[in-house]
Amino acid sequence: MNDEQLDDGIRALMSAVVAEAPVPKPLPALESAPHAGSTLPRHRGRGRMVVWTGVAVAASLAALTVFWSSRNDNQSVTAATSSTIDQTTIASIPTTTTVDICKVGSCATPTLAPFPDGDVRAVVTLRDTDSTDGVWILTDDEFVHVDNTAGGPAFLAGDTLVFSPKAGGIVALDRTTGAIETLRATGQVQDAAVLGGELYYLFTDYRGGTFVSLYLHGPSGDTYIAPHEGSDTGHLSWHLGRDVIVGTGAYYSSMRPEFYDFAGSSLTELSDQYAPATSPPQGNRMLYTMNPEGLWGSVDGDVLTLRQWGDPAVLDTITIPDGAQAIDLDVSADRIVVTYNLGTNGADAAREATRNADGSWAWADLPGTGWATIPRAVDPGVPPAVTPLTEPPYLPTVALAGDFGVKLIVGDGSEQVITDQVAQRVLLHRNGAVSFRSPGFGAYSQRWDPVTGEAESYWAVVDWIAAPNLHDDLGTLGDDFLFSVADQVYRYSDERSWPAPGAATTRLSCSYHGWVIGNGVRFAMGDNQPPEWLGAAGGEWALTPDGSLVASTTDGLIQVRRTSDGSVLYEQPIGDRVISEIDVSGEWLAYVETPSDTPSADSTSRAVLVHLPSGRSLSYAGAVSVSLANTDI
Amino acid sequence: MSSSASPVERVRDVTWVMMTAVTEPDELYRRHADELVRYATALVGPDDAPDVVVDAVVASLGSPEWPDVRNQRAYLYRAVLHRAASVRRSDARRAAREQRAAVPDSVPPAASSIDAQRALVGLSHQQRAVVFLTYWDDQTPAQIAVLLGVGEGTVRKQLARAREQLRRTLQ
Repeated sequence: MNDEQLDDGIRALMSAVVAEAPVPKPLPALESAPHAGSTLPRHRGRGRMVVWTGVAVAASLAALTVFWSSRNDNQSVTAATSSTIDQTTIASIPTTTTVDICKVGSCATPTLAPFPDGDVRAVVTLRDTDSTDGVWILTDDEFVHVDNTAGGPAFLAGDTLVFSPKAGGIVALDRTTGAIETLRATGQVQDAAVLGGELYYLFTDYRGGTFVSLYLHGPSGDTYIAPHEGSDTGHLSWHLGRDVIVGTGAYYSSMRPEFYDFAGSSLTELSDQYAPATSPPQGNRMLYTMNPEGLWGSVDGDVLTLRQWGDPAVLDTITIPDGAQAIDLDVSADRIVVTYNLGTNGADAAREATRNADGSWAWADLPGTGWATIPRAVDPGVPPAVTPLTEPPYLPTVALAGDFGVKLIVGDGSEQVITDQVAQRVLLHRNGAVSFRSPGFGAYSQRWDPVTGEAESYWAVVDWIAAPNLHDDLGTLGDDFLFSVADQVYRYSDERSWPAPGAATTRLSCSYHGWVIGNGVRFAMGDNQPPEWLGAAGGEWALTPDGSLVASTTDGLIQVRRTSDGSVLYEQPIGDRVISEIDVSGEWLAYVETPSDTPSADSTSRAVLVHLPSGRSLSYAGAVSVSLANTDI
Repeated sequence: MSSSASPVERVRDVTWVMMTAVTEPDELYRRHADELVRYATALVGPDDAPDVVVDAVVASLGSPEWPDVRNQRAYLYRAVLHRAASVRRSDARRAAREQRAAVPDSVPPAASSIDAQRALVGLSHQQRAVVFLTYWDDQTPAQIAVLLGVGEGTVRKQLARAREQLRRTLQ
């Protein structure tokens, strides 16, 4: 095949590929995007406790029933009908005056939580920004605001309300005493239950990245379950049974359930057994749920199928109104609670169904706008033992430089040697390229291309007054990073520059939105100025790519703090060490340490990687420079 | 210490923001969705292409740096490429167990689709991007380099390697 024939062949190939291109989907996150096929309202305004009128719901469900009947003639389902809706129940609930309990962490004497005395029907979390946000408790005759900090779904496990404040972390509120306890400084709770008299909770944790890890916390500590892509309360949905975890972890592909035992082992055969019949499934994405007693369900399109864990027999099939817009659900023997996303890229509304005497289900709206969950009121007994972490659960993607040269370590533990020449500085780019500076390659830094496997010089033809110094990646997909020459900092893509005295003796770190900090250095590449406490002299500094967290080595401490309020997420004394570099990204903190009685960055130095959710660490001897992968876009 | 861009640079920044701010997200998406889905189809196949594009666009619009993006189209192309690479990595991890559980489609896909996707299997996502932009969009290596934010030499190398791979596949 000559070149001309090859070109023709490739053009024909591209024509065949493009001929298969499907129609674009609408943008779900845009308020102005059309919402074809939905009978739900777009987004419900704040402050409306009852937001679907009876007429609207009746029309909605009637339309759905007709639609469903025409689409599923061969399926046996319990269809929802408008006659089962009892709007007056919700509408008549008096709304208790908001009780503004003190914010978690700033309250010396926690105020007693004004929990209602009656049986709790649902826990509802409002999620926007006004004063009614937080956790509300719904009983048959009250709807009570008990917290104003929660930023995701909340779970009532026995007498303990477990939720995550908007700033992150996991908090427990005792309904009987009103006591508030911070269980974790970071993370997002996904479910909670009392098993054998002990509180267990599932949580995800991440810092600035889209790669989320799932953990189970039991009385003996945390168990690492699995890494997953997605946002904590967006594409992911995890539920806790007595001895099994089920989740919707895969946004793409076949959307099969993902089952794990309490040791973190994937129950692959069961996942395969209950995978959707078609791949990709009909309708919209799949959803899975489970309660502590093992009642579990899968939603395909609008149909919820209920089973008891361990028994493949189907207990019931139920039509979920607007099931395609459901993002989470809870089930019990006689109730179902569904949380919907109405197009605002998050939880917007919820409905509950109660089983009638004839086995049909009566649907009604829940008040509030956000997530809703059913209390986990039953303790099903002692679960299998969890397996607490003894070392970091996995390795991050990180580049290291030192006497050994430059190497790239990826998550599966494999190492790739970029060069065996002694190197002094390394920078891992978001596109997988690795920049490094090595005396063996001359004064100018090299860029290693992951596609070609070759390294090229960046500035070989430029006559700088001093050798350029690598600092931080700017997060774009091409080459764009900060470097400095003497006291001037440059952006590689356009060579804009900023004066930064001291840049030669510190490593600068930047966020995607333009903050730049280092030891005694702080400026903005745009108009968004960093907080003044960042970049203080006397320590090394690093920002996460999104700028939400900062790592520092000031005041004798290695700390990771939130940039929003300075609250500390991780801390350890520096002691008898010199910390010459620091980086933070995803779930990881990295730094280079050297005993203080030896010259810095010599052969006694090492890179330490700390897995922040567990506090476990590992080290690489001989490393003088470290760079973590930026883990979000 | 604190410092900032020079007045000239600030004016340039403001100009960029003003230039980009006039394109509303839905109008931007309407304008580019079709071409991005075609592009994503070459990267990940038709099943995942619409989701890849939606996720990439949503992530781009939500990115803190989006207001400062000067070439929005190029940024979206890079975001789709990045998202596609992530999807392909996820797919690779799940490939084995999904293959075991896969239920044959009731209607097999068209032969042209199977052949086309098989022919692309040996290419990296970046090579797919370069091949698509070269042979479908008729763009030069220099133009592709700007669009993807890589060096022109990198584009030429990737194109050469992709051509050799496709030469073996198509023969």
